[in-house]
Amino acid sequence: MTFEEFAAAQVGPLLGMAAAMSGDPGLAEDLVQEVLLKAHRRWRRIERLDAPPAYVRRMLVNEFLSWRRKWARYIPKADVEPDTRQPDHAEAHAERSALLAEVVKLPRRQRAVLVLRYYEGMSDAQIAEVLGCAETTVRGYAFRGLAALRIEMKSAELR
Amino acid sequence: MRSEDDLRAAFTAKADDAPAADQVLRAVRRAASRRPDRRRWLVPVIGVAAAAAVGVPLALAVSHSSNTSSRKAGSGNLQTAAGGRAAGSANDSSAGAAGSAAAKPNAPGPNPSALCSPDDVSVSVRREAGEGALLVTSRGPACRMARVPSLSWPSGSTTFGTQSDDSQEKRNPANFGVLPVHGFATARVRWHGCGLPSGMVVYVDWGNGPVKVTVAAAPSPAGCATTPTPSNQPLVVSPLNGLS
Repeated sequence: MTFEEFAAAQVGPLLGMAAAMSGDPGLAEDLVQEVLLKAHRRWRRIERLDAPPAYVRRMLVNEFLSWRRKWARYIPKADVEPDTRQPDHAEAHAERSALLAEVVKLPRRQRAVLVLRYYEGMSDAQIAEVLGCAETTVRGYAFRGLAALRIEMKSAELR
Repeated sequence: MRSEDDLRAAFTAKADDAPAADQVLRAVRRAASRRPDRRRWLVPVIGVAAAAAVGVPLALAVSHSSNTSSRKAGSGNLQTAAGGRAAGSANDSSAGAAGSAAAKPNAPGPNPSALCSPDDVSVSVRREAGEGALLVTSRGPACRMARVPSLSWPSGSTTFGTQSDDSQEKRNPANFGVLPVHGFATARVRWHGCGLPSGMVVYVDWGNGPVKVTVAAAPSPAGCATTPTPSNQPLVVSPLNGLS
């Protein structure tokens, strides 16, 4: 598989994941672009891996986690402002927007864990591998994040 | 209280707001194609630096090696020459005249060929109008001879004119050339007046002793006597043309 083919297939999911993590489409674009460029540079090594998409997702998470450190000095506000567009009148959409606004206020590691768990559908073991930490740490991040968002944990025990 | 499904739906909705993939791909392609540009000048620079790093020491090593070998070869020649000189001086001290003969310029020289013996060449001298021509023709192998041979013009027991007979000059290898295989060499001989008529002999010495040569003459120029007219003027011979 060439890098072009890989990028064309993965750019959509990567953008979705980046948008969910960062809460801002513009920042998601920058993140994915940076990650794909890095992947392009190391493509000969990456294409030999068993699961290049998983590796690039890990790159994206790491980029997201380091991104704030890297770009904090250039961005006046450390936290990205929530989406201020007027939501639909539907109550569900309003609730969703409120939830996302709270998500972007979470610490970045908690946010990454929630996105990987609820958007990417990864298990705690997989998340631990991506973040390079223990599963218990992942559960701790998830627990604190969900608590902050006042989300009832139904499936946490099953993971 | 919210549920996990609400969070999933929120993330999915947010992901739907992600920018168009085409836009990102275009940007990635543009940036990725720019990156090799930056390396385009870097690669030749690195290549030249690597070539210099390898080539210069290699060239120096090769140069040093050839210098050393030529120096060794040179010192070998010097040793040989020194040995020859030592042998020559031994001959001088023990055999007298034989030692002098050994000191003749037959060993050192630009060419390893031996001096031409009278059997190796045929020599003729021919008088032409106002001038003479010396012709030396090889009969076989290449051999060495003096570039300017000496000519002796005897009349009875008297030699009236000779070329330079300086023994030091005779020993100088630079004054010797090589007569090619089956080649020939010529030199001009200047006569004086009507001297050296036909039937006389001259002795030609190219470094290996005088060789008697009978002069073949063209018809005498008008006003010249048919009898020999000895002259005390030295003969003048030009360098042999045809030696390498």
